[in-house]
Amino acid sequence: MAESVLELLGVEKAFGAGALTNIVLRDINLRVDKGELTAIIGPSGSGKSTLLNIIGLLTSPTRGDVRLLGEQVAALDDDSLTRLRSLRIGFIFQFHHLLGGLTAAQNVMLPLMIERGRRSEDLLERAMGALTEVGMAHKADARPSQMSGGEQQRVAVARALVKNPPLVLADEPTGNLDTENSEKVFELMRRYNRERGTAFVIVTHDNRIAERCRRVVEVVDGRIQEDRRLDAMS
Amino acid sequence: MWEQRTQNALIVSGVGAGIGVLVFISALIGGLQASLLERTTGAQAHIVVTPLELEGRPVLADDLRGEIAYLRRIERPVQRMNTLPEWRKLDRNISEVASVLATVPIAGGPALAVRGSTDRSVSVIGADPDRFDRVIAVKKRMAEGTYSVNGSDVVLGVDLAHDLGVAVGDRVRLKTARGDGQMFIVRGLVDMGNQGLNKTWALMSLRNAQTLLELGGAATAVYAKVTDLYEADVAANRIAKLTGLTSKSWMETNAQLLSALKSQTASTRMIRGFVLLTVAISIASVLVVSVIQRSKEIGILRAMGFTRAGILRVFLLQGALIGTLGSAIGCGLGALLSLLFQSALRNADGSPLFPFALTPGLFASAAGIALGAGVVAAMLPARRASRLDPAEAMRHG
Repeated sequence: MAESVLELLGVEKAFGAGALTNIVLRDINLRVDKGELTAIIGPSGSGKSTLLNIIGLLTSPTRGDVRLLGEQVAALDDDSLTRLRSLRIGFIFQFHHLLGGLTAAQNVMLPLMIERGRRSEDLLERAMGALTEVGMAHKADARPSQMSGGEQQRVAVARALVKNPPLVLADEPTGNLDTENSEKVFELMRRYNRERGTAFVIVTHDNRIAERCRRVVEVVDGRIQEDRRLDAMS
Repeated sequence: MWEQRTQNALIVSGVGAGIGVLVFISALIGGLQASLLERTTGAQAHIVVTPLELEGRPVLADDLRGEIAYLRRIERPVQRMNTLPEWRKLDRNISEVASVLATVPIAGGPALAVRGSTDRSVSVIGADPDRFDRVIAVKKRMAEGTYSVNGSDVVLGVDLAHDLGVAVGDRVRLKTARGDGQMFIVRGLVDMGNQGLNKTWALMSLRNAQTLLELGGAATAVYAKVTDLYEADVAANRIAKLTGLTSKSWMETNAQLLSALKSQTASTRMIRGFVLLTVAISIASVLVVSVIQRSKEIGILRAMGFTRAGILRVFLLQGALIGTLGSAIGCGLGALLSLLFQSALRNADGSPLFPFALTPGLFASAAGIALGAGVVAAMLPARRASRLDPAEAMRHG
């Protein structure tokens, strides 16, 4: 059996309290193994994003266990969660979420600087390496506003992967890209998945993306409706 | 980005204006007070120690011969020239009192200056010139000639010399009501910046004053200078307790001036307080908005591993930075305003009315105040920012 990167056991998430309680996720059991490329699909409001936030340790579940690389996270305080997030998880957001005041290279360097506590030459080299891998080295000194949507998202991919985390979470990574750019960004993620064994959990609306993932988890009304593995994909 | 820059520029200039006013007001009041104090205390000793006043002698029972006496009024005795007992020892004791910087024994009293048909009443002060100068700066106030009281030399107040029609090198006779007096040679004229003193002062050696005033070898007072002007009353009390003599500080003799200065200081403090409050509130309001505007970025940073403490630091730092930059601008602005006013406010003769007190201490305290206000003001918004839920922040940002 493959090594698990992530395990959710009986996770439930409710917002609000009393009569206004809104249960967004119920009884979620999900295990993601090392090197898996998983798509989470489902209609709007089904709880996909909340699920991703719980996986990303950005939101804590109301009930149930979350294990990241075998470590139970429920008992951890905010600082420990933050450290875990910083070391183990890369994030790619729908609207790239690059910092507007920084250049592409500085944005990619940011997770490294947060970990190290200061900037240095070797961090810039690593950032440049990551930018080269996504084919964005030529825009290293450009600010996000000077790049196209596809380019911004490729920089965001470089930022998510610069620390080589075992797990990368992507929330609608191609949500506002055209077909060609979606293709490029998805190819990048697939390449990292193949070459480095990075596990990806991708929340997407885009069927063409979902179809090409080895595993598709469908969430409807806060429950996992279907969890199918497509073999013979490569 | 542009909005944030404009916002920061605006708030920094706002803080700058506030700190500028603070610096200007402090420099103005500080300069005014220093100049007033200098005029008042520069020409008088901080502490004057004199013998106790003579009191009415009680009626002795023997004098009454068994009759009952009704006293309608106790007549004050004439305050004849009263001298200090053992003044050399006394002078040594006073000079050892805490915070006393310098002392000088004085032989002083009233006399007449006679020249031709005019005479003027003078106040004779006999003292060792160097020690006297350490207590009351005379040398730097010499208008003409030198501060020399050797032999039969005398230094007169400028107005006294003018009234008598004498100049440096002329002779003048000083006498008391009882004696014939002595001839003196005028060696210098002193301008104490105070008409009362300029019209009456006659400075001479201790020995000459003792002879002229028929004091024998006695001294009539000890003058003392203290390290801190505003501690003069404390030192005066200490001396009074130690010696049992009358010991008065300038604060007692200038009570009105002192209370004016104190209320001025209080109002300056109030202005400072309100400026500080305004600065703090405006920094806080800008940072509150900034936290809302940047909540998306805060969420991103938190997702990428920025801790709460890290976010807290960023905003505290921003507050500190606004404060520091604002105080730099404010110090410049305040200094500029002060210099402008100083050159505009002039005496009739064209000299500045008084120098503004633009001290390094003032700039340092203004900078400290602004920095403190910035950090304190940033506290609340920074806490808010650090507690943002990253997932929420990104969704709504």
